[in-house]
Amino acid sequence: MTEQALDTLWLEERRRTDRIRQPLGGLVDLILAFAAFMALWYVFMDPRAVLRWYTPQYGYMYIRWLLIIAIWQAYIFNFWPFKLTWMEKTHPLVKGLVLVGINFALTGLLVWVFYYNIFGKLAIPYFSWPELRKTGLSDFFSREYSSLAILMMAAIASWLSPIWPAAFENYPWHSLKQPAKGLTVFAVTFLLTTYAYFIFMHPHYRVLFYPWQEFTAAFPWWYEQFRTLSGNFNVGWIMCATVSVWLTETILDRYPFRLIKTQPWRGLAGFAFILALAFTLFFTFVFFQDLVWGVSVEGAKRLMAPDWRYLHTGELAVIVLTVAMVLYFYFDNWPRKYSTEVNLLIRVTITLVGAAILHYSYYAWSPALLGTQAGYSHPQQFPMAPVILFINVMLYHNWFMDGWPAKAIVKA
Amino acid sequence: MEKEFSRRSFIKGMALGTLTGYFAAAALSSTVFKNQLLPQEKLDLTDIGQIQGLKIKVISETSWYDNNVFLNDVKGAGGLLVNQYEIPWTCVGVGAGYMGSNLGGFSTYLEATLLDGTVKKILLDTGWNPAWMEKRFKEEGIAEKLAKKEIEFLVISHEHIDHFFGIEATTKLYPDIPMYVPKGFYPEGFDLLKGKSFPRANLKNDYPHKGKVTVLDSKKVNVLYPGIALMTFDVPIILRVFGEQAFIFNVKDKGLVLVTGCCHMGIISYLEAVRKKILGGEKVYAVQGGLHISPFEDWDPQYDDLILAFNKYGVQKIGANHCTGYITAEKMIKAGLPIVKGTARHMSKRDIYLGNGDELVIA
Amino acid sequence: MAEKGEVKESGYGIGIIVGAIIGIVLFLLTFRVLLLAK
Repeated sequence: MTEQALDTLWLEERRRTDRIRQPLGGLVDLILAFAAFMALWYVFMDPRAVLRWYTPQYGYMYIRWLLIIAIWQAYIFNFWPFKLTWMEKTHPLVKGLVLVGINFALTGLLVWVFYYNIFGKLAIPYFSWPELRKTGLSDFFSREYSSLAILMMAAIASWLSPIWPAAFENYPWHSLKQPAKGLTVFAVTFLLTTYAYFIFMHPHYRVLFYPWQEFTAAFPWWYEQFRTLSGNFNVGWIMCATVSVWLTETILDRYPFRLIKTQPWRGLAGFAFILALAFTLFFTFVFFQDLVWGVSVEGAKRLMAPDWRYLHTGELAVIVLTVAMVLYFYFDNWPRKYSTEVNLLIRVTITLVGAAILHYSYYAWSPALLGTQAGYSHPQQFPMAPVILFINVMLYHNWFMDGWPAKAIVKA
Repeated sequence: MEKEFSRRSFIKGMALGTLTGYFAAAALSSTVFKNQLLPQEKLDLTDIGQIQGLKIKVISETSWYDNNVFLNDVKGAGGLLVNQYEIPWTCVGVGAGYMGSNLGGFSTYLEATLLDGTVKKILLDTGWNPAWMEKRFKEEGIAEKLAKKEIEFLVISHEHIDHFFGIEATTKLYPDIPMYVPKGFYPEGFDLLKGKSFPRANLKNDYPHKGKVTVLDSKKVNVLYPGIALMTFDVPIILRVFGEQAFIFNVKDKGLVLVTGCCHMGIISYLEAVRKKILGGEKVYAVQGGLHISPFEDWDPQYDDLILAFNKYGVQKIGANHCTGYITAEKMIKAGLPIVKGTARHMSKRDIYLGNGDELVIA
Repeated sequence: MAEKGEVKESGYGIGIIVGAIIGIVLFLLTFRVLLLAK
């Protein structure tokens, strides 16, 4: 499948065997993952349960950073500083404990040390909950506003960072050793992320405060065409772009841009393809919402709000991605035996049908299971939060723990 | 051998073509052909009749006195998704509050004169703190009207703490008052009516409701009297509430007057719904009540979208108050919207909009 | 499996065209389902 690869990840190189036969193995793993997700949700997020961080931005912020840090651990740093032999030989439960522990710790460090006490304190106050509090804003909203800014950096990073290993195969730094390679790719992608954040999200913060912060942030330049001052417009398509990266990495086999043999052309084609898919998803989901609920009305709230509709395209896209990931991780990206085109057609069909089912199930059962309020559009709810938490669990399960107990590494 | 290859290639081509065709069709229809493919807007107008005139009296629009105390109650309990019947609302030790309690309430008194001259008296919402509501009912003459059963019915706009929890203030004086509630009320709401108490939320009802409760469905216009209608919206609301209803009065020679509790569905959505469902809906003369935009003096760019769009609807009088928020009022005034000023009496903090005891008359 | 170059020649192009028509029809079906879901 892969031609002369410039660079591969340990995730691509590891060989695994089924300890429990498919599809039963996949099902067992899926049920375990779901149980783990419910436990995490209960402890940290559920508004009826323990910590109740789903306020919603505060909990959602942590969920987002867990995701991008997992991506950095597995994709950018290729598990450095752990030796690949350690990855191969250690029991999955131990690996899970260690790597998830690091994941949680780094998230905490980033939020509490970097954002709240360095960047938010010395550069831009709206990244820091304590700093916003000092301006006289309420405790609750200081936390919500700062959480939104912090999570948006993670969201943009989840789109831009994995493009380097996935589309560019880390070109031109593919020959570097870790951690030099990881640090370089991280630095370059985080720089791009920072600029992208300021272009796409910072204008939202001009309008978010009263009075408008006219000197420090640009006017939302998308307003004329897309009828909203809210940054939700960008959140929507950026989410679709993140989903597109991961669809490409999972069910789409990096096709068709992997047909291009040389870098950086393959990477550039990949970037363009991902963006084209992103905007297709984005505009199509907006169109679908207009069909079912009627065209959105400028200035309206809830279901009829243009900005909520844009945001919702991201939510719909993440639902699609979840199904694709379940198929990829738990059911061996079935099917793989036909030609690429036929494989792709079957997988995409399964994914779209599965997404419709998941969509229906989510809105029917989340009030009972997750403690959310019924309804599609609620001011304090983002289905992305629980769905991405579930994706995080799948990543821990499959990236860090090799999909144990259904699968295990084949020792050389 | 040749034929086999051909069939395989054909199938491969078909697979690729199907994928490309599907996504290309999606991309094109959602962009280039979007306007041709979206169905036309359908108007389904109901004639609700007319009234001669309407008097709106704000009994109380101050639902709580200290924003920080309120938000801390919510944050401490786990955020805006937590069930309102389980949040320990602060009733003591609040300096800015009413006798130390942070709780006030929302209630509006309406007098509509029908075309035949009869006057219909309606109470919209029953506040939060029964002691505060009793005081305000006495001060505005509502207590006397309730005791004499002169008020036609009590309409609960939605199940929120500050519109509904003060129910015993009404039922104490008129236990069998007919009530209208919107579809979406939770079991706890009906239990409260029957006299159940919720100690965690510092909530009780010592005067169980003995009258008729009618649940009004959404998706249709509920005409109560000629010229007086209610519409229910299926809208999910903070603090585990669902559904809100609001008034439409059709005042002869003036136009429609919309009266709300909190307008959680959004004033623009409400204006649009009225335009599509009520005869004469394109001419809304006035809007009164809470518009729930910046009640916590927070903001969101979506609210600026709202203010910019509101101007296009040509509303002549905006009697917004309560959960509309002062920031919203200041921005609306700057944008040239006709906000009706108040007098800042009876614990209403600012005169920037209608406050406790203020009136809006449309005749 | 044979190399892509060889296989493309026989039937691939027609396959794409037929597939594209199927794809468009399937999308119109989705469109119809959504309209009914109003």
